[in-house]
Amino acid sequence: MTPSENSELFHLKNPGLAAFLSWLLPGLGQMYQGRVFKGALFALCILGMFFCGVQMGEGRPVYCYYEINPDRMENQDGAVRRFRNYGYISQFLVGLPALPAIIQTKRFDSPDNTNQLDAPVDEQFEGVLLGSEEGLPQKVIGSINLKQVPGLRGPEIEGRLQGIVQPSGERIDLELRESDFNSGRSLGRKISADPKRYVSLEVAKVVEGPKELGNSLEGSIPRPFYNWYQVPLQDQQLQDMNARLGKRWELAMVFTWMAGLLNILVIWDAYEGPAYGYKPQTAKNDDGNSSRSPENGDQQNADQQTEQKQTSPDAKGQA
Amino acid sequence: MNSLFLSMVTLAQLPILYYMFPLTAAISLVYSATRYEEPTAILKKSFRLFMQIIVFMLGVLLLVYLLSYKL
Repeated sequence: MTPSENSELFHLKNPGLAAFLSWLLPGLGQMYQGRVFKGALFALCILGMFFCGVQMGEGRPVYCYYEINPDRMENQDGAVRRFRNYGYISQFLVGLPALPAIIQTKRFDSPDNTNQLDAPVDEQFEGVLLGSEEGLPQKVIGSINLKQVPGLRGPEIEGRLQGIVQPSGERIDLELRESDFNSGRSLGRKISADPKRYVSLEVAKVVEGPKELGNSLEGSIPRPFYNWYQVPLQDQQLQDMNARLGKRWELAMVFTWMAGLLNILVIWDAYEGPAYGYKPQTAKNDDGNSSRSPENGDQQNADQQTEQKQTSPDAKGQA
Repeated sequence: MNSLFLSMVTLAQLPILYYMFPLTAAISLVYSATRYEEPTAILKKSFRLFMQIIVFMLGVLLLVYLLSYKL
C-alpha cells in the first residue's frame, strides 16, 4: 500500500505537529491524533527502555562529550582532550528526556563552574581522616558545614565537621580549613558527572575527639541531582564507570541508543501512519456487489469509509 | 533523586543475558505497532516477532556453544 492510499484511508490529524510531538515525547504524537493505545504503547516501551538504560548506568550514560586526560593521549601537549559522544545522536532522538545533556554541557563549560562555593553548605559527609600517627585511614561520617571566606590568595574554604569515627563510634568535632598545598582545589567542581562532590581539607583544630586523629580530611558531600545528571563525563569518571559496571555500562548505553533509534519509527508512524497501512478486504454485500469493509477497523476508519460510500456515485446507486 | 539511582540495585543484580527479554519485547512491540494499527494485530505480530528473535538468538547461542566446545 502506498503512502497516498494509506492517507486516504487514515485521517492523521496534523501529521507534521504529531511527528514533532512524537519526537518530543515518544507516543505523544499518536495520542494527539487520538491513537491512544499506540501512543501509550510507544511511551511505555521507548521511555521504559531509555530510563532503564539510564538507571543501569547510574544516571550517566546520556552525555554530549567526554574528556580524556593528556597522560592517556599519544600526543601529549598537556591539554585535556574533549571528544564527542556520537551515541548521543541516537539518544537525542528520544527528545525531551535527552535534552538536559545539551543544557548541562553549557553549564559544565560556563565560567561559573568552579571549585568554589556559591553559598554556605550543610551536608552529610562521608570520608576518611589521614595522617594519624598509626598511619591508617580513619573512616568518619557526620555533618559538615562549609563556607567560603576571603583569604590571602583569594577565597578559601573553611568549615566544621561533627560526626563519629567508625567503627569505634567516638564523637568528633573538628574545625577545618584549606591546606596550603591544596589551595583552590579543596572542593570538586560545582557541576560534574558524579553524585558526590569531592572534599579535601586540613584539620585546623580538634574541638572534641580522641587524641590519635589524622590531620587531613578527605571525602565527599552529595552533589544536587541537577548538577550531575547528563553532565559531560571526565576521564576518571568514565574509567570508573567502565571498571565498576563493565558490560552493564555498555548495555546501559545500548538501551538508550535503541530507544532513540526506535523512536524514528514512531515519528514516522505519527507522520504517515502504519507502514502496512489499514488493509481493507474485499467482501460481498447481500446484493452480491463487492465493497470495502473494515477487517479489524476502528471506529474512525469505519466512519470514514461510510462517508466515502455515501459520497461515491456507486454508493448512491446502491442506495 | 541521587538515592534513586544509587539504591535501586535490583536491575543491576540480574544476569546480563536476561536483559535480552525486555529489550526484545520492547523492540517487537514498537516495530509491530509501526506496521499495524489494530491492537490485536499489533500484539499478535509482536509476539510472533518476539519468538522469532528469541529462537534466532538461541540458535546463535547454540552454534557459538558448539563451536567453542572443549576449547
